[in-house]
Amino acid sequence: MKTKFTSLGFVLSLILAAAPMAGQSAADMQAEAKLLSLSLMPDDATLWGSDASQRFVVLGKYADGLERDVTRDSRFSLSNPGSGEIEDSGRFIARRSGQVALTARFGGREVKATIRIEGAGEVRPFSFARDIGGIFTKRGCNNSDCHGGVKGQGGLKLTKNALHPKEDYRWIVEGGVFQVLVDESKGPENPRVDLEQPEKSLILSKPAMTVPHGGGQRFAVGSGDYETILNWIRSGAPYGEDSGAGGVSIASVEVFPRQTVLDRQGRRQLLVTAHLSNGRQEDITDQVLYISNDENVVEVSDSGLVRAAGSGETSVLIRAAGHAASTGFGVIEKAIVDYPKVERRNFIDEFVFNKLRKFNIIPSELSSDEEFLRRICLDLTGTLPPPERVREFLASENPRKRDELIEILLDSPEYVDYWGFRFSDLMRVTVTSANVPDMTKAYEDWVTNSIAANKPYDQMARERVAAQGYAAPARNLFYVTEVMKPEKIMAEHVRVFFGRRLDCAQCHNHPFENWSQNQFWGLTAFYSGLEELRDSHVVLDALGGGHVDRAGEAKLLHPRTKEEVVPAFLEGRRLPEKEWMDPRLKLAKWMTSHPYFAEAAVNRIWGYLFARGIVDPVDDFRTTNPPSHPALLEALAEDFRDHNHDLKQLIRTIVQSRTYQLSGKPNETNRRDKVNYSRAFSRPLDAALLLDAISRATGVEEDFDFHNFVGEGSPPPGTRAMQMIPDLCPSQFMDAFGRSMRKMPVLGNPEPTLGQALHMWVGSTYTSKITTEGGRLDRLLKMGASDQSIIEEFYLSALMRFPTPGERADLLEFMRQRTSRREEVLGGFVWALISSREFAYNH
Amino acid sequence: MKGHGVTLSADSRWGVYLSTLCVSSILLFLLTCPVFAVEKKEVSEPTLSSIFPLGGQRGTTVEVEFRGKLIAGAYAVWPKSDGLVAAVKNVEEVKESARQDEMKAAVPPGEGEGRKLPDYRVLVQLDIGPSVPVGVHRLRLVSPAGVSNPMEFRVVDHPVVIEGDGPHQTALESQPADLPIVIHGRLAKPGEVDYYSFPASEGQQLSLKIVRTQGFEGRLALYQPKGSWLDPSRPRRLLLDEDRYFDLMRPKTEGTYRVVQTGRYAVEVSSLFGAGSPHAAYELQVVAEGEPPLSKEESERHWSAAQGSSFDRKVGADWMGVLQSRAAEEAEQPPSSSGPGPAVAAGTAPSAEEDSMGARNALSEPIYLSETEPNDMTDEALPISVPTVIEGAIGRPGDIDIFRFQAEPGQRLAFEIETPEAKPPHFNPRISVIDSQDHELFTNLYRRRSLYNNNSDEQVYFKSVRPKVIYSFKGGEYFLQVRDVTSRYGNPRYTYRLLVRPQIPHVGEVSLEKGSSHFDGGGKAPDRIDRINLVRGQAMKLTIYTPHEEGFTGDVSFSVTGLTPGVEALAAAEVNDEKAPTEIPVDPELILPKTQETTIVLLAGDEAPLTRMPSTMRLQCRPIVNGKPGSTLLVRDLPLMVVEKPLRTKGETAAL
Repeated sequence: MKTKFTSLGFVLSLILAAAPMAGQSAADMQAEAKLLSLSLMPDDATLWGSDASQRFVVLGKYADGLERDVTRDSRFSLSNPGSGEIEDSGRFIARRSGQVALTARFGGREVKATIRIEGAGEVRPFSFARDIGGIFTKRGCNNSDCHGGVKGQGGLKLTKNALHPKEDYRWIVEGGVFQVLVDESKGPENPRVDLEQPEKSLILSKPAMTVPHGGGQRFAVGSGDYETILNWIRSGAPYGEDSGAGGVSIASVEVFPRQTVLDRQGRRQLLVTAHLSNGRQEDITDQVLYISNDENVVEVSDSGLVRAAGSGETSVLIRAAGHAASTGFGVIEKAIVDYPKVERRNFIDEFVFNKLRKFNIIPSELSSDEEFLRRICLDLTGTLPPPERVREFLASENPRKRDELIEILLDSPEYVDYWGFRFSDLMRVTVTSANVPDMTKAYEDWVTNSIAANKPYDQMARERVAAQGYAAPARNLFYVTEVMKPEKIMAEHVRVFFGRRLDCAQCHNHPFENWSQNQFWGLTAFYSGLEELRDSHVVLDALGGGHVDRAGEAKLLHPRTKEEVVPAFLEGRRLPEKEWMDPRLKLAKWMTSHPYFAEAAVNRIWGYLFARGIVDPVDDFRTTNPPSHPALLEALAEDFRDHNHDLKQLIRTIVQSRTYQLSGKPNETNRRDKVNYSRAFSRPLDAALLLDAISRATGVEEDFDFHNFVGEGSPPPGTRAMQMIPDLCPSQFMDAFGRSMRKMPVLGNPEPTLGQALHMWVGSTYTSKITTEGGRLDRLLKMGASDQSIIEEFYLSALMRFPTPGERADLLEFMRQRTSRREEVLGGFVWALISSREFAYNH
Repeated sequence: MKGHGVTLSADSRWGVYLSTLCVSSILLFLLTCPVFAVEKKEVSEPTLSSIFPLGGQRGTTVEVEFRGKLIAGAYAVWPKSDGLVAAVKNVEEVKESARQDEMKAAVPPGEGEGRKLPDYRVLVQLDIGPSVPVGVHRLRLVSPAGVSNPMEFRVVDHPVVIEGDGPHQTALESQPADLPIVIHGRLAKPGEVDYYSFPASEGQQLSLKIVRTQGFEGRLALYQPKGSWLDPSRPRRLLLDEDRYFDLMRPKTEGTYRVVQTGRYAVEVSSLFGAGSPHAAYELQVVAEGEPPLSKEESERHWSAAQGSSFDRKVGADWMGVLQSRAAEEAEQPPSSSGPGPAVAAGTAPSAEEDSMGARNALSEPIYLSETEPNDMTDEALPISVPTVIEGAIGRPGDIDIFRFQAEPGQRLAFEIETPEAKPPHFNPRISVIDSQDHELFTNLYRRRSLYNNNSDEQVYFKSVRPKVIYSFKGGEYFLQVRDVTSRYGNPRYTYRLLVRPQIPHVGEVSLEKGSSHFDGGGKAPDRIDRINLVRGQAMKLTIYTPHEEGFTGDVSFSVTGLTPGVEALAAAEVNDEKAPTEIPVDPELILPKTQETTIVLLAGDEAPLTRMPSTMRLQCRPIVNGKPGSTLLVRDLPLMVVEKPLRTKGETAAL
């Protein structure tokens, strides 16, 4: 029987696969490159100190919608030439204090900028952090693949990006041997400077390649960087101005522009501005390191000039001493002159469609009602609607029917099932982490009830991070029978609620980000007093006085320095000891009010609904993985905060947008786009959702069991796969389809496997449900339904659409020519439907 | 909540045994979890698994079903009491086909290996006279094999409805009922759920409660029966107030709901993880605010196991009298050789010196003091004297109550706390005493090293909050601090009654086991005794455990009365093999008392007459210090029968 189903089904699946998925071509017409306006960036600059400089960029706005960098084709003049010099590249170098007007001319137009020069005779005090650390950063010496790596390189260890200049200074001037987890040196400590013979200092001879250097030549003898370091050693290698002692330091780095679209011939000069701790600004465009994330799209020069290389989208990373930033670039083939007007339903569309316009990508059409219905039901409830509801929705001519359906679904019990399942995955509802099955259930109840009550997400996060006493969310703090290690819990909480991965910083400063080992352990210390009263399952924090002998028990030692670590927030602020009675509550309040929290939350929900986060993966926020739509992310986060972290409101806002409701059918302009939400992308259903969908489509409920250790009970009839706690419920099907066992927060969709194919071919879930007595097919046959009715009913129950005329005709013809029994052929048809990609995917 | 109260003795046994075998941590985890650990017991005497219904209204007649093993031929219910008249109507073996279903059911308490024996179903007609006291009555069956363990049957003063036979496994088919609802039902099969629907009006405050369950952990949910858009048969669950607003787990299955819309509602009774069997009975109550309260049973007041080690005992004015009644009156004590410090810590039993302040104050009545805020800081501390009963509340999260007192050098005090309203695990009162140098001397947090130490981490402990802590002081001014063990929780229901008193050396709660509690390497738990069925010509060993509280140094003698003819009680001795301790105390202040172990052998002679109905055997004890006896104390009344060596039925013989 099974083989008959599957062989018949295979033929039928060919019929189904032939269903048209045609895209719609766009009429792209390139506009003539007519200059509309001209601007000069910055139009106002204040420079301080001798030899201060500022780069200027001339931008032309063209009729085809593009903004082009015409700096190198412009002519510059100064109102007072004695005040400084202007280079053809647009770089101005100050010579004398005063004010000067800079004029740029291009294409018959001119623009002006005002430059104020202050303290032209004053020399900025030397700073090791900026002057020497800046060189190491600019030259890539402290990259994670070089001396900035975990163990350094060739015996020299620098902090990545000069994040900790005092450590770098000690290494260079005093020497050292780096150990990952211990502070004790295990070898000779060789200084890299030679004060007697400065030219022979390794810190010069290596990068200049006057002695062999595995990293090659980083600068030449006599170059500016060489001379700066040489002069520093000659002057006794001082540390110089100390930002920690009131000196001036870089507070933040800003890059202009944040997002740029180039045509294939395009180029754009970046401007990088340092905001100093004394309130001044400084152009550091020529002092930083530029890295293109994809040189097939753009290339970038040492001076920050970006050139288009090929169509696509990428980002350019900027590294300054102790800081990093990024900017996005898109390269288009040709501009579209008659870009269509696209309806916008809320602010999400503004951000998404504005970017699409900028990138000359036309979004797909609005989805059909059939497409929308299936997608919205799966995304909000994980549930396929019954055929009668599909008919009702498709027949309705109510112009507000989509919004009304959204409200119905948001208010449905299935919404609670589905988002309870999602958050149970995220918050790892498992027996392993909750210790015993009934506690696991209590924890799951807390998740589900929080969703049912639409509890503000910040409250939910606080309850979990700070869970104490006999609280249900405290059930997640266990591994096997013991409370988890504090560093594990902390890293998980940061990952779930901040979308950041700090794990690497446990053993060493993070190789790719500015997370230090001290930050890691400072955060971990908030959890170091965590313990449980075993008899009563009460969780408490002993940090602030849990017991008279607490000190020896709850003390957390830094693995490298062996010094006691006290709770400290990410920015380094320590938690006062008088607040140690409830340290995790302080941490939870800080976390939920931190900007990271809301942006991580909205990005995660966005990722669920679009199969791709604005930052993707959704829990991997980092400088080197910038958001595709930074302004949208900020706006969503702000809206989320404004609505009191209301998850339902966030979901409503997203799914009401036209962006969400776009069709999955591509057009000529968005066929290759994968990151700009110009169309819907299909993704496989989670194992539990797929199993539930098969049960719904066939009309046969799944009969679940519990593992023996749970007892000898059975889940009540009607229990859905998404309601089962994975490690309590054996299921070959869900295992094969990659269900999460919740050992770690879920990441991405499972990859297709051979096991899945075998399940489709011979697995009982795919075969026996079709013929089960009382199932949908059995009922229809017993009712005497016609072939056409049965085909239609299954199309509606599985795919939420009627068969196309072609499909209907082919299938009926197939039925007429059948050589097997009618129920067998119809069984094969059902098998083909539920084995199809259209069924197994949300699209 | 079944499974939440980890039974330490059982866990420890498994822990020691398995850790020596170096099993994997996962296996250890599985086996040590209460849900997974199935206690293996042989059923060798009449054993009841369940009773249904769990109660009835006085003035009515109820058909009660008992289920159990080795109850073939059951002919009576014991004890007989005025007004509660029982007649056995039918005894039948549960047929194998029916048992197949039951084999999937949750294991009833007390069963295990014995599941192989056939089950019997005994129907009893119970006339509950109008004068029967409201409250719990413990009913046993009497059969030729002896007297069974008791089943609790609650007599109430309000109407009781028995679950109907019709289908009510979905919200749409729910069994109709009217408020107030008191329903006794059963989840007879695994996965079964029961629905009851009732009308309710907007604004009504409903209180829902599964008062009792038998053999499973109950769950409760409230629904609006209307279907969802996606599934017309799917009811809409309503969040109880507690689900909506609190993140605390609830040891009791209860909740409240304010009705938003007039209409019909359905309450669902289900079980954790779908447990269900003919034993799985429950009592459900749904009442609306403003309706006459349902009758409450009278609570039993006697010295029970919970008294000495729970937060429930009443530490009011008469508590010291109760303790003194368990001491040897006017006993002379040897002078203390221990210096100041934790009383039992040094391993020496502190004695009650006659001239100590403790002894001087022992007879004085405690002063009552109500805590007043602010008293969170030491300079706000209220002064107290000894003895004093402090009544207070941890009224808000982070609230700390501080009191100041003076102690004489060598003075030994006891600090006992009761939580009249909120209780552990929600309110976990932490007592600590701080000296004038701001050093915390001790707390009521007791800890011992964990034996579940899978990762060989030496810093893993079991900790618990104890209701009593004792200490010997160096003398001077001290501060007594009370707070919740967390700093997160607190509200006006977090009330406490704290008695600060001199130590009173006394006999603690005496427990009784059949056989020995010593770990025998096989993980076999001793039987707690609730009845004695002596086989003619055989002996039975009883082991009695007597805690010597607060340094009690005397002896404890035992007497047995009420024996039937031909039965003797003999003193016996037991030689114990040396075994590794199951607990490794690491605290300097060992709070737990020493325990005396006494063995008695009951012997039914070959000629001892068989008994048809149980008699009551009374076990009593008497503290003796320096040869002077104290008051006689009741340890336990137990039903006693002399029976013939059980004659098995065909099915039972086959099973054995």
